[in-house]
Amino acid sequence: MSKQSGLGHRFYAARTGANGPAYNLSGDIGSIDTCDVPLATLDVTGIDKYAYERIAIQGDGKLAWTGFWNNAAGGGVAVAKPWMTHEVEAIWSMGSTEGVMGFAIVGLMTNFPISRPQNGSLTVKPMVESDAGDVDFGTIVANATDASGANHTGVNTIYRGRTLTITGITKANPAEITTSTAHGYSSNDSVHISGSNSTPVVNGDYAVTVTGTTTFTVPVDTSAGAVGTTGSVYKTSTRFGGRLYVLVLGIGSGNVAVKLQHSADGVTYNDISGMTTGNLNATTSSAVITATPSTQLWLGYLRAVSTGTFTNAQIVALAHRGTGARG
Amino acid sequence: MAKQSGLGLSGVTVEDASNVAQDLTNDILDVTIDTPMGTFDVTGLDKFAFERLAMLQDAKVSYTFAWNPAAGGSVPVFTGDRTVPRQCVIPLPNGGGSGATATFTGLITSVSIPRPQSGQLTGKATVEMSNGTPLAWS
Repeated sequence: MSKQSGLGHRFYAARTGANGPAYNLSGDIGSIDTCDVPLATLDVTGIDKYAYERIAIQGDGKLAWTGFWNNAAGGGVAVAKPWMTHEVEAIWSMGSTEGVMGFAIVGLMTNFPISRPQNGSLTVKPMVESDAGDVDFGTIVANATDASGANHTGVNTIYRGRTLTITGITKANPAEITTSTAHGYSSNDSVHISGSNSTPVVNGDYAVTVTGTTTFTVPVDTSAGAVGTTGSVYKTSTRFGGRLYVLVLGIGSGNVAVKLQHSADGVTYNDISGMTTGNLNATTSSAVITATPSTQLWLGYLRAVSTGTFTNAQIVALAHRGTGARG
Repeated sequence: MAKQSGLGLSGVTVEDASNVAQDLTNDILDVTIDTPMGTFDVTGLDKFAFERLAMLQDAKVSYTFAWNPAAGGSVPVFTGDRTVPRQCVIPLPNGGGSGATATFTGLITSVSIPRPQSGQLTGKATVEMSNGTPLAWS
């Protein structure tokens, strides 16, 4: 994947609360004029410094777009104009499929200016400003219609930590790995190992058990084989927590809940504790969940799963990794 | 060697949220480096012109970048955890001399992603000094 244009994007939004469905406004929006996420800083420059010291404090977010005048039922104006002064959840997807990047915001619609210049054109420029700090870039983990409960595409959002050199692999069960420098891992962190030369090799994705500052074990039995002396390892999990944004654009019947799962290898997934929405439907169509604790462990692969008793739920979801302290 | 342009740069890096330096030379479209310094006016009554003392140095680097969401690309670097200070390195042409590579550590205080009707997609990010260490030229 390389540099991309802004063509083929999608834009979805809903008024939060029990206020109706989410809408696909993609065809009625001509441009995203503002997508700003400023971060305020606090000057903490000590008297012993010759240059500024700063720390991050309050973040913010703002999203504004230019829309065409479509006041038909379900059109961009008919849908969004009544949202003025109310809280809105919006997801800007930089593509139409799962796995693309996206931007999500929950905030107040603070302006809905309408412009009709002399040339006769008629456009609107709605603006949404964050009201509770839920503003994130992330990965689209759901963008499909589920006939019933379904697993969406697992997305590799692997956080690739520093690549460390492996200097030793024991002949044991489980095999113990030695790194050339302190690894900084905690037990149950997941790592990716490649290039090992033990017998058998220990290449793959594992949850580690830390045994020392430069040692850890992985669940591989090398006791009948041979030691290894080389390889590379990097961490593929984070303890940053995260946030999940969900919109339901339509549902045939029933209620749907969306949960987020994670995996170390993209094959075996488990639920992330606490990352399941309440029931969503055509009336209550938006949800945002922040991981608790904020240092919750998230593995590299993420997957959205729709659950509940429902038919034909059209779901869009964005997962953002990292709302808490690094770890 | 005489005057040089800014074409053909290499090694322009920004650390990601895990403090791994990522080479963004191909993703960054333009860069601006500001290194203002505060001054303290100590002009004596006996002077006819300003006397000043050097005060706190600052640094701000502004990047315009193409949208590259690949691992190690501009998007994960500039949209990752922005509470983490990042080291930025900008090697400018040294003309056979030295002291043309700027290095400093700062916070990404602003990210802006407009998507105009033309369909272009570029981002703007600003990094401001955060660790009390002046921008170094080496």
